[in-house]
Amino acid sequence: MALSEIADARIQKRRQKNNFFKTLTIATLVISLLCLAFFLVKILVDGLPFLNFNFLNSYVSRKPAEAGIKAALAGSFWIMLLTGLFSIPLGIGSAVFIQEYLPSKSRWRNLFILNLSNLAGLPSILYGLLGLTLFARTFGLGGSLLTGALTMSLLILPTIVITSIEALRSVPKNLREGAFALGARKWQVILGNVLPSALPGILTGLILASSRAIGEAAPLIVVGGLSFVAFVPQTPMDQFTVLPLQIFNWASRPQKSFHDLAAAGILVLMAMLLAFNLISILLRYYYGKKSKY
Amino acid sequence: MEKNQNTKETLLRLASHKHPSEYLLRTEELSISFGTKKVVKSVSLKMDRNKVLAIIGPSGCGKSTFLRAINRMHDFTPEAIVEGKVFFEGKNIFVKREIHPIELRQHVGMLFQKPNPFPKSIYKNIEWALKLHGFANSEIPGRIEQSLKRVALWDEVSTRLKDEALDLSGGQQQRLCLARSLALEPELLLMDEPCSALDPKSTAKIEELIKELKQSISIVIVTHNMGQAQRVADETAFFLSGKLIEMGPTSGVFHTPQHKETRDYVSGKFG
Repeated sequence: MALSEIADARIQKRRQKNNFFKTLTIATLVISLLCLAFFLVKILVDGLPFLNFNFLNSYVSRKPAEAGIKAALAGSFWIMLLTGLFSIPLGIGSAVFIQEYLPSKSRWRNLFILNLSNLAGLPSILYGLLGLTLFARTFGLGGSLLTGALTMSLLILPTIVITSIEALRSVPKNLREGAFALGARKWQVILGNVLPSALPGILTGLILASSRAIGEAAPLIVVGGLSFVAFVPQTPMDQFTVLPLQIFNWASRPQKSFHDLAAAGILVLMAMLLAFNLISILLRYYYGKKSKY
Repeated sequence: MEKNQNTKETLLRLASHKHPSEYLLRTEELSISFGTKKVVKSVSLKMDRNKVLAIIGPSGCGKSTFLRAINRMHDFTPEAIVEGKVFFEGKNIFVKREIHPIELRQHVGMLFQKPNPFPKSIYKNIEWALKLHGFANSEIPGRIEQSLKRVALWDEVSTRLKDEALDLSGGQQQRLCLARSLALEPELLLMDEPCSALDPKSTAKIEELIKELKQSISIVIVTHNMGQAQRVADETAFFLSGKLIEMGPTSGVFHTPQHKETRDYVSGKFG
């Protein structure tokens, strides 16, 4: 009798500790969510009144009521397009070489992967400095879209290569063997079977990398993205601005109404990022269904 | 009378004695190691056309490793060291000038333990194999239909050739993989425990197919299932720790084994 009472008391105590820990983890979650919610509400309250077609279709202006993000939107799309054009083939190609052609235990392979992981974590401003010396100065491309896109490509290449390597690595061995056993050569196995199977993983990496590219401002400030651009860039050699730069510019002005414009810009940027993630989820879902192994 | 009988047997044996190069498959002192670990030890065997050879033995006896040497699958494992010789239709498969690995794999198909259709449509799975070997576009649809018929899959899939191969059942997937190999019209088919991932019904179907295919090609099948070996194989080879212990007509190996190890294994004393 006494024994079971002691046991009951112990169980009671352990249950309390358990609940305490659970409450603690819930509290951490609530705190972080509250911060985000506060930020979101603030942005929505400030930015929503400015968010209309005129805002999307006007150039920058000294009068807040007339200012818009047409040039920045166009610049962001240009940068995204060109960055994708440079970094996707380079990134996937490098990943294929590292994962498929280098022996899995080779020292080179480990060296590459270690360095890529380091590069992926490098502060983006350093890429900006590299872009400035290499593309803007040495190659003489100046503060053009091309410089910006090449710099952004360098920035996101490590991420693309690493995620692509992971995706290629996860292609099951028996799929490759099946292809080899039919008399396929290595490039045929890679192009015909391995890459298509790795596609969902590669796409996810690409989209994550691209969302980083459209959200970054620091490297573009360094290479000479302008904040006062009253035209839509026509060629890759034109000067440009992008959304994050425009937001940065507005947010650094003293007037409250420009801060509200910045909030509206942030809303557009967030919508773009959300759309990107949605696309990545849909693509993964679509291809994931195709390649259930 | 007895003497007469003996002469007759000798004559029969002489008549059936072939020149080594006439065998479809012949291995000479084939040894395979991974790093320092020797997995197959000096295996020599011969195999005729239109025969089914079963390789049996406990797990880790090197039977799969032996099988995979015949279409040079060890080329893709850098640490694998293959020594000795393998002759396919009299050609040394390890000498590129005699037969190139790509050509070898067209003539020696392989079916794996786990069905491995490509993540493509049923049609494209076979088409891909045919295109690898440069079959004319006009020939492809006919060959696909023919090979699907050979594995008795045509009636089940003819209306949905554009469907994903991975939506088929496990047994159907394995038969599709078989069709994919057969489309290249191999002379020899290597099967690495092809039924171990399948249910009894699908297994029975594959065994049925093996018996039919024997009319036109030869098959080497590695199996854990001694019943399966007895059902489908003309000849059986028993492997133990990398060595070929005994090989002969299936009923002989199972009912009058010459070696103690074979006797113990087929009677279920170990395995």
